[in-house]
Amino acid sequence: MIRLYRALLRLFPASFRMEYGEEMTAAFAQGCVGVGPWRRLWLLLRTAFEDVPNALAVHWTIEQAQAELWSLAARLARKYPTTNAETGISFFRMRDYVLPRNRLMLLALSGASLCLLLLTCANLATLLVARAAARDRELGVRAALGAGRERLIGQLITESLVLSLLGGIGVVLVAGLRRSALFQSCASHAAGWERASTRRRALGVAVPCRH
Amino acid sequence: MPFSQADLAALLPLQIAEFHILLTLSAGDCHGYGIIQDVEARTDGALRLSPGTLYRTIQRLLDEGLIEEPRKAAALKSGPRRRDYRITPFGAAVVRAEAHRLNELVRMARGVFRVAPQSS
Repeated sequence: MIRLYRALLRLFPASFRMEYGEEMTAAFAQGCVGVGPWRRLWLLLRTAFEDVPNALAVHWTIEQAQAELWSLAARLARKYPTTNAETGISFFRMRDYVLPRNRLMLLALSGASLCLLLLTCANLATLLVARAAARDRELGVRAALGAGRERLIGQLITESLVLSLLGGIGVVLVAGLRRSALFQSCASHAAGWERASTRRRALGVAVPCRH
Repeated sequence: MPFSQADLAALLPLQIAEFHILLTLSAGDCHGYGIIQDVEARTDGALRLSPGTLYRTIQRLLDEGLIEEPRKAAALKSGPRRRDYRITPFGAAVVRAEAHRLNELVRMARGVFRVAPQSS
């Protein structure tokens, strides 16, 4: 049971675990002394389903974060009056700061990306249709040898999927490699872009679109 | 360290775990598991703090300066499992202010119950 508890402790934030992990384990072990197995199990389940999510999930609204920062500033001013009496903490969302300044550029970039994506899709579809038409004889031979309609369609779809998958992997690799160079050149124009990353959601749309 | 009424008011209302931990420490220094036992005994088992809840709350109370570790340096050097916690004067003022706030709430509620007819 203690081993399980120690394993659960690994889910807590590292700094918290380093500071209080030993004490928590000791308190859990003491809580298990002289109690039945169900009570021990309850203690363990409570840790797994109450303490761990509470320790990990810090969902603050912007108002709560602002209130916490003001409270922190007040405490600092009380603790260090000579240096912090006149010091406050201002707080704003990065997107509120970045978006209005760069809205036009972001919209243009998004529009260009969308056009490029659609162009690629249309181009690829045309190429695949042309390629399938050129393989008319091959498909005819396969059909003569006994391949059914479903089998032929399955073959073409599988070929297209493998091709698209390889292309998708290549695109992700190139995007990962070129991202830093691209955003380094943009960083001076748009604050916060240097921390931009390839979003899984965007990939989730773009890769199936290619397919 | 001096503190104002505004400092006290900024921390109210306390969470239930914070209030009980401060109440326990008002009676004297105590270690983590001792706090769990004391809270459970005082509430007749109605409130059983888990170690996770206890130490997250303790961390918050330490950050806010409501409690302190009187022998932290020595404890870290010798590496014992038990660390004692002590309420600070600011923490004592905060828990008294919270008790006063709760008392006022109860007093108001009693006034309402006296006026309102009791429904069966």
